[in-house]
Order: sequence, then C-alpha cells, then structure tokens
Amino acid sequence: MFYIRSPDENTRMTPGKPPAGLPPCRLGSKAAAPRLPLGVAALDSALGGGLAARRLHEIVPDGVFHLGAAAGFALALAGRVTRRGAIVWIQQGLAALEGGAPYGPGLEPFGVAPSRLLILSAARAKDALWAMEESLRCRGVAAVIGELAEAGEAAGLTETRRLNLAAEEDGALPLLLRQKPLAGASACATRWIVRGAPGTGDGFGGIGRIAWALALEKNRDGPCGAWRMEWDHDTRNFRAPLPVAVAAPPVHRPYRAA
Amino acid sequence: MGNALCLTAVNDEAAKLGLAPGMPLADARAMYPGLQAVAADAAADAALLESLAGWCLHYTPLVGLAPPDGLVLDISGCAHLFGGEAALRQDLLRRLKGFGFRARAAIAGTVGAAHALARHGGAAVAADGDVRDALRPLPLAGLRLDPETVQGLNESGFAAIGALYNLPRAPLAARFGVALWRQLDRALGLEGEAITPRTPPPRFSVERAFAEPLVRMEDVLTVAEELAGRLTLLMAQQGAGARGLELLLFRLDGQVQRLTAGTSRPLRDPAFMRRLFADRLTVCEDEYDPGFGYDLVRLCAHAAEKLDAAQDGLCEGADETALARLTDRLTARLGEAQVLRLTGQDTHIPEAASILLPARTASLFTPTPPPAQDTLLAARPLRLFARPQPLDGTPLATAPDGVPLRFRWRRVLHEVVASEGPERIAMEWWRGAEGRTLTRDYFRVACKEGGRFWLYREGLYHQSAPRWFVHGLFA
Repeated sequence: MFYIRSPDENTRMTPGKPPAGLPPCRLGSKAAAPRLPLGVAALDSALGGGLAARRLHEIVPDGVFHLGAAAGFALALAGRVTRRGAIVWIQQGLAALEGGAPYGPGLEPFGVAPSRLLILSAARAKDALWAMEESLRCRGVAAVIGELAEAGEAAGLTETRRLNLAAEEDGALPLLLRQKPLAGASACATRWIVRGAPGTGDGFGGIGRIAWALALEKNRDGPCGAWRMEWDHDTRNFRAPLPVAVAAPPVHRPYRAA
Repeated sequence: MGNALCLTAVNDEAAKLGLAPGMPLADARAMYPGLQAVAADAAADAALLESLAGWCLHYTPLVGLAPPDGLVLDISGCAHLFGGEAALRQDLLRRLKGFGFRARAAIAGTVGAAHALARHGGAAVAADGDVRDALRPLPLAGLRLDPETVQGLNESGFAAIGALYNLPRAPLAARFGVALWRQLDRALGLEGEAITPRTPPPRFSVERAFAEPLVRMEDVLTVAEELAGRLTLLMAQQGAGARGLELLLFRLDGQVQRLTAGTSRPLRDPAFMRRLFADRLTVCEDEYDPGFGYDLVRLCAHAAEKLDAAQDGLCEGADETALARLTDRLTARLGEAQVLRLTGQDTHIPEAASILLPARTASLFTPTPPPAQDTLLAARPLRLFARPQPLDGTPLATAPDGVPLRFRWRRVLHEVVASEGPERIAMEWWRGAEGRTLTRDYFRVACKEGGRFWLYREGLYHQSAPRWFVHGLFA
C-alpha cells in the first residue's frame, strides 16, 4: 500500500490498478515504441507515425550505381535521430572497394558533422554484425549504419533478430545497408529500395537537389508504397518534390552547430 | 680473418679434439675430415636471445641484452621473492638447464664484475665488499676490453685483473687508452654503469604465480580480472589510469606470450579490462596456445595518465565515456587500422582533404571551408573511392575537353542528363617542383537512370592523352 500526494487532492492508490487519467503503460508494445517521424505526411502515415526507432530497417540500392543514393538516404535517416551521440558506420571490407568510403566534406548536406562519424571496416560479415550489436547497445551512439558487401547473406533471420534485440532497450537506430537485395527472410521492420532521382532543378541548368525514388518494399506497420522524396539541405528535412523549379535563397548553415 | 669461413661455436666433443671458435673451417676440416659444420645464423641467435630475455622478465622487469650471448638482469629488490640471491641464481640456472641451455650466471654489485665472474669463473655471488678480491685472479679478458688491449697487456706481463690494481694509471692510459681504466672502475663500482633495459619497465605491474599451471584461456581471463583489480587499486592510490595494458603469460616451456590492449581514455575498471582482453582473444585465439600451461601471469600498465576519481552514471560525460569504451572494445577486436575517424586536412586534393585516422588517437575533424559553388547538390560526393575507378574508354563529349554526354563505367552505358563543371583541381604550386603534377577537371553528372557521379579527366588534351575516372558517388 502506498500513497501519492498530488497538488490538488490526495489519491489513495492500490498496487496493480493504475489511477484514472493516466494512459495505460504498455511496455514493449507497438504503441510504446518510440518513432522517428520523417516529416512527410504521406510517409509517416504509411509508417504508422514514423520509423520505429528501435527496430532494424534495411536499405537496398536498386543496382550498384545507386549505392550513393542509398547511403545518402541512410545518412539522412541517421541524421534525423534527435539523440546525441556518434553515428557508427560499419563497412564490411569489400564494400568500400565496391562503393567507396564515406567522405568528410560530402556529409555537409545531411547536417552530420564528420567528427560524429565513427567508421569501421570489418573483414568478415560476422565481425561487422558483432560490431553493429555492440554499437547499438552503447549509450553514446545515436545510429548505426551497417553496410554489408553483396546481399549480406550473413545477416539472415537470426542475425537481424539479434540486431532488433540489441536495439530494443534504449538502443540506437539500426540501419542495414545491403548492396544487393537478399533472397532470404529478414526480421527488419521496413525495407527500402532506393534509386537516385532527378531533383528539383535550380533553374540554371544545374543538377538540382538530392532526390530519391523510394520504394517501401516491406512494412510491418502499414502498407507498402513508392514515393519520390527530396532532401532539403537547408532545413535538413525530407519533402515531396515541388512541381516547379524554385531557387532557394542562400542560407548560412554551419554544420558545426549540430 | 678475411673472407675465410671460421668456426663461431663448437660443441664439447669438438672442443676435446682441440677445435676452438675462431679457427678457420678449412683448417678444422683438414684436421678432421668428418667434421660436421652448419652455417651460423646470427639473426636466429639474436631472436633466441630476445625470447630468452622475455622469459627473464619472470625474475625482474629490468632485463638488458649483452649480445651476442649474454643477458644482464637487474635484480635489485627482486631477489627476496625467490629466497635470496643464491637461490634466485640456482632457480634461474635450473630452469635454463631444463630448457636445454648451458648457462653460467654470477651475481655482483656491478655489471662489469658480474660479467667477469660469469664468464671466467670465480665466486657465484660476490658481495659488494668482496668484488675486488673476487676479480683479482680473473683474466683481463673479463673486463670487456678489445682483444688488442688484452693481448698488449698480456705481452707486457699482466695476466690477471688484480695486477692492474696498484699500477700508476697515466703510463698505461697513454698506451692503451682510458677505456682500460674506465672498464676497471666500472667493474669495481667506482664508476656507475646503467643497464639499458630491453623494454622500458612498466609503471604499474602486478603478477600471480601458480603452482598448478593454467591451461584454459577462460581461467587466464579470470586471473586477468583479479590482477586488474589489484592494478586498479595501485593506480587509484596514485591517481592514475591505464592507457596501455599488457598481459604477460609465462608458459612452462619458457615462451612468453603477450596480450596487449589500449584505451582511448585513462582506465581504472577491472571488469572492462577483462572484456578488452576477451575481445582481443576472440580474434587471435590461435596465437595463444597454453601448451602445458602458464605458471606466471603478469599485468602491466605501460602507459598511465592522471585520472581523478569521478562520479559515475549521472554526470555529463557518461555518453562520451560509453563511446570511448565502445571504441576501445572495437579496436581490441578489429584492430587499430579498422576503427577510424574522419580528419580534415587543409588541401584541395580530394583524397587528401579528408583522411581516416585510428579513432583512439585521431583528433577531431577540422573542416576546410567547402568551396563556394553554385549548386543545390553537395559540392563533394558522399562516397569517395580510395582509388579512382577508370572509365571504360573515353566518354562522348561535344568538345574534347567539354562536358561528357555519355560514358561507360563497369561495362554499363550511362547517359548524362545534367551536369555541373568543370572544376579544376591542380597540385599546389609549391609542390610542383617535386615532379608531381596533377591537373584534374571534375564534373558532377546526373545520369538518366538516376545515378549521380563525380567524374574527372586527368591531364590536358594538348599535352598527353587524358584519362577519365569516377572518383565518387553523390547521395
């Protein structure tokens, strides 16, 4: 038997019965799981309020030439995590040879300071997955991007479940970047197939904004779908492409403040 | 003796026949045609001496080499652990004999005296007051003089070290040099001589010996944690934390195996030290074979830094500490060159502007101001190839040095729909003198199927045949 004194009234509480007015606590259930909203209504409603922050998400480029786009999408998601801490990027040995290594000056549009990035290269997929698990459990890490060479066959159903478990208890955001789609099953919450897409131009014949053609191929919390999405590097937000070209005014955006 | 092959060492049987080191091989063969000779391997001998020196850490942390075949141990303050100086010497000789070495040892107050006594007989243990008498009958060669000096002295009628004691110094110094008297003074302790240790002695060190050797690596880790507990107590008394840890495993057969771990911050946490060693072991377990077991385990903190006691848990830096620990564990398992942080350098050359350095030691990124360019896309790619990837052939362009319209990379044809460039990046002018030239024209291109690439052309058309590369992928 215990008592709580609230400012306006004395409420006598019995254990096992929550007082009226408080939402029922459902630890571990879907509703209690924290979400990472992407800021675009169409996407967030499909995802049930945003990306499940403590479940594994897979990102797969639609062919090797879209690896840069897929990595950019992963980094954009990682950069949106509000929790302070490092972003651990784990590359399996051959992945860097095939698709290059993260490059400091290129991180600027995603608002991720290069000093936040911890880059790992693991020769074996087993070591890469171990490093992912350890990093996910660390309090000083905001997001973990694991990049596996080829389809990443080593990360099957069991291993992806382990990653989910590692992230479940106040862990970082787990993202798995496979260079090719995996034929087998996986315990991920969502799987995104990413292509680079032509972005809104600047009206002067330039390439335009960073843009992706996203296909949500697997979604545990809602319907699948496909969207065109642009990255607004001024506000660091996703947004749907504008129908007409608009040149953004120049804005001073120091990434060091992030 | 010129280019002649000489004997460097002989065994007992050969010595009985009258062969001695220094004799030409041809002479020895002429005397005994059945002589078996193998080529001397100085490097292997040196390696063996090194490994033996490692084993001698068993007795003292201060072990010096006296090549080609000697070791010097500073046992000040260590002898009582083995029951006194004589007992330590006995133990050392007994174990070395067990390994198959024939060793001689002597204990004295100076390196010179111990050297003479060990190599030329005499007392096994000479107290400081007895050194003069103990050295008196020994031959002059015991003083570590060069052979010509010894020969000259012998010809002058001096055979033993004692003969030099009461001689006037100036005449002999004029003939043989002052080195003669310096070596005598060093042997007698009139002049100091330091031992140069093979490895610097650790600042903190704890150990445990076992009557029954450890044969399982799990037990070794448990012992390591216990030792770490004692080590942290020692360090806490002095307000220090370990930056470099070394676990020395003394195997029964005399081999010493080392397990090292580094930390990015001063550390005083036994459980975490154990985890570091455990992580290290998971990757290189094959290298650590206990064989018949380890009879001594020692934990040393080689590098130690100031670490004041801090409240753990609720304070501000908890996340940073957690990240530092993660970095240490990842480094222990994956290796120093695999756990990296980005560091900026002040240069325009793309591959040098951002480099990867080991996370444990890297300083933070100092950004170079990104080039101001009229682009909505990033000016630099998200992923950079360490080695630029050559295009298949020359891209199709409106003009030879113009924007590429169509190019082939990895056997796929890419059609350019939008492009930005060229951006010329050249070697800094002050580096041109070194003969390294670099002229690159970079293009950001977007292709029809959605890929965005960073291409460059190296070289100029009017100078040489330019080559094209993909250097990076944009997001």
